Amino acid sequence: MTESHEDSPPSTADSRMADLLAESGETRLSDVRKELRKESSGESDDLLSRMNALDYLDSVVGQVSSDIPQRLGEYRITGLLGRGGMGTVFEAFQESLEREVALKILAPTMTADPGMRRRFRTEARANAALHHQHIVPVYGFGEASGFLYFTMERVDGVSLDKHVSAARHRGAVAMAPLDAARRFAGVADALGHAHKRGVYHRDIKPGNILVHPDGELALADFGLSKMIGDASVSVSRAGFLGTLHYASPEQAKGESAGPSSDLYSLGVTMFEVMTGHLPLAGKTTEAILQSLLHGTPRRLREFLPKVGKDLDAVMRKLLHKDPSERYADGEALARDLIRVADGDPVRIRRQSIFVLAWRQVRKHPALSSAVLVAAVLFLVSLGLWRTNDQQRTTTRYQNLIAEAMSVAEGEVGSAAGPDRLLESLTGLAVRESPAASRVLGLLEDAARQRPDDPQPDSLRMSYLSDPLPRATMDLLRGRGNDALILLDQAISNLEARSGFAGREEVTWLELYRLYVARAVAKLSVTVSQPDDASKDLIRASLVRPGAYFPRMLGAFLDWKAEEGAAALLSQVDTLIAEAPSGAQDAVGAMLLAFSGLSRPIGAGIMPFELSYGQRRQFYARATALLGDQWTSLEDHERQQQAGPIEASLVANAAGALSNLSDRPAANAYLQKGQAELDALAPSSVLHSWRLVFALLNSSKSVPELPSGVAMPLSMQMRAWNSLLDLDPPPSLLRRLGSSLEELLARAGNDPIALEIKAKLELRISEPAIALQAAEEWVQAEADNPSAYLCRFRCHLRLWNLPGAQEDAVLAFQYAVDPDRMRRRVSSLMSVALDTQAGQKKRADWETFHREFSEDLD
Amino acid sequence: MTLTPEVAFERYRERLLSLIYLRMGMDLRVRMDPEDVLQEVAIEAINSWHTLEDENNVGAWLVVLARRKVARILRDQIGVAARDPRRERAIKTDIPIADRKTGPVTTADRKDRLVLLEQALTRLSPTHREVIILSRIEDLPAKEIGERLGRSENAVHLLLGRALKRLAQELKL
Repeated sequence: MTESHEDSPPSTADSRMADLLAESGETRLSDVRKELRKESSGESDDLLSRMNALDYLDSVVGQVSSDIPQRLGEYRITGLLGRGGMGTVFEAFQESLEREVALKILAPTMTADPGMRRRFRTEARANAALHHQHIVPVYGFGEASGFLYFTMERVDGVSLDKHVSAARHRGAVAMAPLDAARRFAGVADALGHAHKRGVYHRDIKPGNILVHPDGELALADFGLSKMIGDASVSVSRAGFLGTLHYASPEQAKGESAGPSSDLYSLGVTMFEVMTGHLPLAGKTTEAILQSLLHGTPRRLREFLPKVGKDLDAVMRKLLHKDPSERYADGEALARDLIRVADGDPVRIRRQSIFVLAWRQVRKHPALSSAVLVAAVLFLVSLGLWRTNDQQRTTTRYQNLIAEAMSVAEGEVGSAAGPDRLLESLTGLAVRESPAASRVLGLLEDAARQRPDDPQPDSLRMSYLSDPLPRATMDLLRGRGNDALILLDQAISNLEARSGFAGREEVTWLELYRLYVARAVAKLSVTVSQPDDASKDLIRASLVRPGAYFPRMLGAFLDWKAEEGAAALLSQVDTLIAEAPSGAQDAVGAMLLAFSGLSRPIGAGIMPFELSYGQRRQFYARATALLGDQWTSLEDHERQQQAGPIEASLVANAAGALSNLSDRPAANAYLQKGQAELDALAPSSVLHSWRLVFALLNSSKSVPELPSGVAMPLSMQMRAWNSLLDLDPPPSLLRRLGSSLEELLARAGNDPIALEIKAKLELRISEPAIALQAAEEWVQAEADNPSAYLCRFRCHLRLWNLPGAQEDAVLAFQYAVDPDRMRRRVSSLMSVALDTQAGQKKRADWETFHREFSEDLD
Repeated sequence: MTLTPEVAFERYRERLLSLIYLRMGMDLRVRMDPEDVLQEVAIEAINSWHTLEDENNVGAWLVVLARRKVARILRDQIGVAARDPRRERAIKTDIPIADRKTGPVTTADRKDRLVLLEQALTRLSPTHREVIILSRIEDLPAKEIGERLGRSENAVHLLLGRALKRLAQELKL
């Protein structure tokens, strides 16, 4: 490395190069180059090589023009036709046959895998076997210079998506409805042709349909593009976006997609061509997925009120969620489209419309009565409505089940579900959701409608019970790794048990719970995996689209690093606005956890650290949300801060501490604590308590961690901090002092070391020495309220009124929870003033003390 | 016609990919494909398109998005914000190296060149490396580079000239 070179005085070549760069006229550089070649000296060679380096850099950075290969196999590349996510399309000349072709090079990332190459070849062969007027013929495929490519007919036209976007710019649509019906009939027939030969397209969208100059349409990229897509696309959420709009619901679920899936995508394409809109809207991936799986496609007539009933019906059949309700094959669709174009009546199975009406009712229980009326009117008009008692009971029953499920979706969780998970994450128990009784009530009503149907009862059981109580237990005990293994197993079992179609509500509910639990587990493992957790939350949302918990937890994971805490806070408003009853508590608990006041999950999940100021904001929002709930939490302040396991460790340590003179009693506590430690996951940070128990046992050696490694310094510090917070007697601290000193010497000026030192001195040293230690801590952590509180206590011991006053105000100012800080200051003062020394000072301190106490009321 | 995010992104695609590739470094690349990261940048560009104030700045804007995205991934994946992946050990590669000459290149060449370039860059001093990346990959104006490196504009040109010399030596150009 030639660092010295950087600042040595410039040579003439250096200066000349700097001037050239300063002018930065790229075109001029070529002239300069010519000049330099003529010059032919050591200096000119130097400059030329620097320019070569510049060229090299720019060639790597890559302009489009430099991106075109000269030749691939027998194809001479003559121009660039287009560029897409999966590859680039070139215009090329096939020398052996002397014809122009379109040559598509697959993106290099797609072609590394040998399995992929094999599949590519298989697919390409199958494609070459397709001969249809409305399919762009594939000529061949090959590999050269590490590229996979295939060639197809060079169609002298542009893809349909260009037409769509051009029309959109004009404020028009790409095709009139009847025109579209006629032209797409050919494409539908082409699909039928391909499907019969076992070739599926899997990625039909306007970009893959070419428009000939005469207006005829032709399908391109059969099977190939999607095959490439499979490898990369399904992996990343983001990559999915490109074609998600045209994917069928079963594709979105990751199920294998058959002929009817292609037909669905063709339907979406037609819809867009005719209306300029997509039948399902959505800006984000999640939104699209949700509407894809659970939304109802918009009707053609919403956009084209004058369109004939027949075409509207064809489109609805085409865009049906249930593959079996769609057209059986492309030919059938082609026939109907031609009938529409010719004005002949179309015969669509009426039952599908009947079913459609039912689905409407089920999906929108809130609108149910209005929709029901509409549906009834519609069915009456079709002559299908029979007023029959049995039918009415069925409707009522269905509605009750649907409504129960909808209420269940809206709430945070139930006693057995996400509430417990929230508790494991935040260490805060959320009060029972009022929605629970409503869900149970609705299910009971449903059971009364149909006493013999087991569904309401099994739903009730499933709603009330935890599908995997052991995993929940593990999570509550901080054993995320164990829980994750159990959940993975359970989920793959359940997923394997049946396909997505035809599942019972009960299975869906169970699957939902498991996904949510696994998301929480992924946050609770040793190295938390927020990105993976997000994926499970999306799965959960797909299973129960209205569910609030995944959305809420997802929002907490979906911060933008740059904006950090501010972004998180601003999302909270949206979350609360959408929140069903009881959800405020959940949001509050999460905020509290992130503020670091309850169990600090934030540390593992957030990439940024919260300043005390931000913690204060979080805390303020949390308390505002938690309301009454907060009072009850404050009663168990220590317990809640520590989380259930640490609380129990604290209790055992405190028990041992208060029985120091009674050895057997103390030992009993220590053994209990030790047993709890042995049950912990090996990676738990709580193993720092091993040192606390050892210290309480007057042992000076630092215990090993279960993994056999020495306890790291940071954990030892944590242990000492925990011990000091238990307020041990000075005698014990003096006895242990030497080992602590050693530790502090190793830690240097780490703020935690200063904190421990300050807390220690406060307990064992003269007030003046303690004050000095507190001073150092304040210097190191100027925004930590505890540091000010510590210095306040020193001032209190010195009976320094102005100093104490100042620190009390500072501690109060920086406090995450100002009220609690005020109470602490006040109680510390009361205790001090009640001592003998304090009695004498009482008069001086009276005003100060009163101020603090009075403010509390 | 107004600029759409898709068009803008397509225009800067290769530049962004190089930037992401170099900024990610070997350690991160084994875990994540730069193309995927690029995709994510594209999504972000589409989503935050309204925040672009001046279309003429779209290149710089995209570069900022890409840089942030990589930084964010670094933090997520490695958990260390300040670590510079390019300071890691030199890269091993089994990608065959095409030619070392300049001139028109194919995509395959470019991939090779990117690998070669990165190897060469790791052998430069940190300052040289940074000035090259900032000026040629991130395409920042000399003034801004100067502000970042604490140097005058003139000094930046001088530095870049010298960095190019070293790079030419490393690449044996």
